Amino acid sequence: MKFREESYRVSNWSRREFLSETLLVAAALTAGCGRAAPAAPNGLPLRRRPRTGLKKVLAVVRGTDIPAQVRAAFSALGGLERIISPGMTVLIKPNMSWARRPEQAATTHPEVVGGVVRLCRECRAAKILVLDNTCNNARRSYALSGIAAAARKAGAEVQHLSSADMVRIPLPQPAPFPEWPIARAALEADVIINLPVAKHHSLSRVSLGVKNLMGLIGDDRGDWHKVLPPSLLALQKILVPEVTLLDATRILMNHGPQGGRLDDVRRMNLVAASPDPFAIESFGAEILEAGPDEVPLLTEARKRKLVAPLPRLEESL
Amino acid sequence: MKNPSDSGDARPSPGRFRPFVQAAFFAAACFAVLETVFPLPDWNPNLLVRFSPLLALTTFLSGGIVSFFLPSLLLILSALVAGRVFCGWACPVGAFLDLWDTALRRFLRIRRLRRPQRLDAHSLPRTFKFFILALVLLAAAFGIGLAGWFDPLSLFVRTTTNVFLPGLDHLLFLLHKNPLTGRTFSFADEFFRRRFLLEEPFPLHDTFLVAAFFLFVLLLSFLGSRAWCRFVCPLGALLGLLSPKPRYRRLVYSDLCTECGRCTVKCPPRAIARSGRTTEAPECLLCMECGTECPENAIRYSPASERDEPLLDPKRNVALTRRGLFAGTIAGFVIGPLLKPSSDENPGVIRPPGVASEREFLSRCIRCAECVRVCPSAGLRPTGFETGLSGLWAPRLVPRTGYCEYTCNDCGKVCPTGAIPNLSLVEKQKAVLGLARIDKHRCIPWHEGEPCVVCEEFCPTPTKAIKLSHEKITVKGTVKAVRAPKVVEKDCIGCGICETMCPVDGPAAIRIFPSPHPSEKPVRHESARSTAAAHRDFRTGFDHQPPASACKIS
Repeated sequence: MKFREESYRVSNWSRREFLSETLLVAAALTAGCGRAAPAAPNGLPLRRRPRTGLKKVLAVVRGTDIPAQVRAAFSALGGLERIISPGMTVLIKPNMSWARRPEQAATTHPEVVGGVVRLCRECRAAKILVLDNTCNNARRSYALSGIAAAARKAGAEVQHLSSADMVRIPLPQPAPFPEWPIARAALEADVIINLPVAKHHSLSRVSLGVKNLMGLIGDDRGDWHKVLPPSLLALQKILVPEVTLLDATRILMNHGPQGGRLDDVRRMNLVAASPDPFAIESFGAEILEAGPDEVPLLTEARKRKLVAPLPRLEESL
Repeated sequence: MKNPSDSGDARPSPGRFRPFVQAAFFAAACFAVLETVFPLPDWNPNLLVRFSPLLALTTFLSGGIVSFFLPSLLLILSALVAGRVFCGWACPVGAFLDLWDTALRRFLRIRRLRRPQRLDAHSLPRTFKFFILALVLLAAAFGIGLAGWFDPLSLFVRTTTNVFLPGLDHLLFLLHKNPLTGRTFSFADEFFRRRFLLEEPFPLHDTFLVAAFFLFVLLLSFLGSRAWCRFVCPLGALLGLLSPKPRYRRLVYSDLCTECGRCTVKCPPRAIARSGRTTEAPECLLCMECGTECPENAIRYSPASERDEPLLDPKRNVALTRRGLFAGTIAGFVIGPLLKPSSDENPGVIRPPGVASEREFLSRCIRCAECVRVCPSAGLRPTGFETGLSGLWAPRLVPRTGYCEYTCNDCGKVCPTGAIPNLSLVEKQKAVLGLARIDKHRCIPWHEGEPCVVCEEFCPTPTKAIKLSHEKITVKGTVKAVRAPKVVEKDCIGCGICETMCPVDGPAAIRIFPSPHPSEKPVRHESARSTAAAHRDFRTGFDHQPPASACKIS
């Protein structure tokens, strides 16, 4: 009889065991399935600590050979090897939000992205990610903008973003929202290189580097438009890209940020790079012919004393 | 027929290969559905439904483009040569049901499935599929598209698109999102999502009826194995009608057969009469189960020759009586008016781009949901009962769920009947789906005086069909200066991206309404465009636009 009892014990759970196991498994399965992702993700910094070392200048390179321009712009800042050590993960954030073709100037030029990826590979970065949370369907935007193909060809890993790839991060105050989902890949990257395209925007007047960072956040980004400048500044404070390279090979003067009309596109043949995002904002506003007080983001940044004049290095290829 | 001298050794039936062949065809069918996504492959992945001669026939009757259905000749040929071999060896629904029936037998031990069936050859259920066939064909002749409800290929694509794939999608997404399993499954999720799925899981809330119909198909199996194929499937009925006496069929060595009756019990479609010698060709699926069962090894499957005994009882060839045909016709006349759209007026839903006539659209649509599958924003959804019974599962645009992507014309490319015309991108960008209207009591700038430009930002028309105007809005006594959106009606194409993206909770503050007068709707396509030629030039396609490499500006 004893034998039977024992075998009974071995092959079956007690009621208590069953209940606790069930609850544990249920808790594990439901964790994170809801809308609220964990507020303080393990091991992730709440703000990136950017790597410094690039010269604090604004490099502007004129020419028609885009990869050469990109190389010259980064050389003027001292070279990407100052921030990228071998084995690092580099996140490249082009603007590929829209299912538009490169000539429509709504997205970063694929040759700019390809050039930067190649430079990162020369610095022996272990992993080069190219991604964006797109406005139009991601697969179409990645393909039509030509960026995915160019980045893959140059040796980058092109990733898609979904809400599963986001973590809720508290925004540095003062910001209109207490917290917001931000791409995990961005917080984990060793280096972020921001590759915006210069274009008109109906609300913020211009869409440049800081606005481009909105492609690294999730949820309903429409809510941000009510209070755009402080939200964008909070985002800049968290992500702090090491360097911003502005694609002004051709710029969108009107009907932004999506464009679609070639009449609104102006050819500039410019590429500008700087570690200071606000130097890029000021320069971009200038070439997009926005007056000093027309750009709400710059007005707010000036109020917070974030804008400082930088020496400008101009070069023609 | 005399037994050849070499007999006596147990010859394994070729039926043992059937599960593998079925699995291969099933995998191919699933692959076609998966591939129906941007960028479309060079072979049009709507190929699967184009194999159905039933859909070819109804498309012919409803004035659609029959030339798309050339592959269905293959099935007709197979039926003439070997009867319903398609049903037994290739049909994806049949393969699924075989697996399902086995599961029922093995795990639930449904005894009915093992007993000789009570629903015998001439019972009403077996004749029912011919009624359905008659009804479907009659309805098609009167301009009502019913074929897609019952055609197994359409059923397969529709259910995969609306139920199975979204189910897999949600599962992967949950596993990816879950902190415990996220690291393990992020790769699988990323892989499938990048290649076959959308960024966020497909909506599942409005596909209940599709799932319910497939559940009905599965539940039918409680009446007996392959009950759907025996009692309902009109494609099976059509293939059976085509093959009263196929060249290649089940033959019995009369001197070996002891009439033990095991094959009659084993036969999944119950196509063997009690004696075991007589086969009913229109019911036989050529699954060759009887061959593995026969203890005397008296059954073979081969071309019948002149010397073979006439094993098919000609009276029982087709379980369709004159009375049955008459009843079907009457039923068609009764059901027809119930289904028929009363007029060509817009029923209050937004149809896919380029659809001009509601009546023509519904009669041609085969409910295969290829367009739903390919739509890159999940904007095209299967309609429920919103437009009446006749509109069930026909696609409509639900702009709050997803929008008509400005640079996409894939739904026209994958529509197998031309119900959605295959427009070039330039034509599609001019096709008007509806008109956006702003609800000023909900719109953030108009009601709260706060800035919001989302609809204007997303409007894809080159000169913007939504403009921002400087307004002074009085909110609780204070006047606020704000830029508020206004719709430029002549430029609006009703793509619906404004409604999808509107950040207001609940119903959007800007909504698309169907064009009030379909006759005045600018339709800039000619039906002639949707010909085989247009079908041929389909590619990953940016027709009428420069290739991606041409990104220099002069």
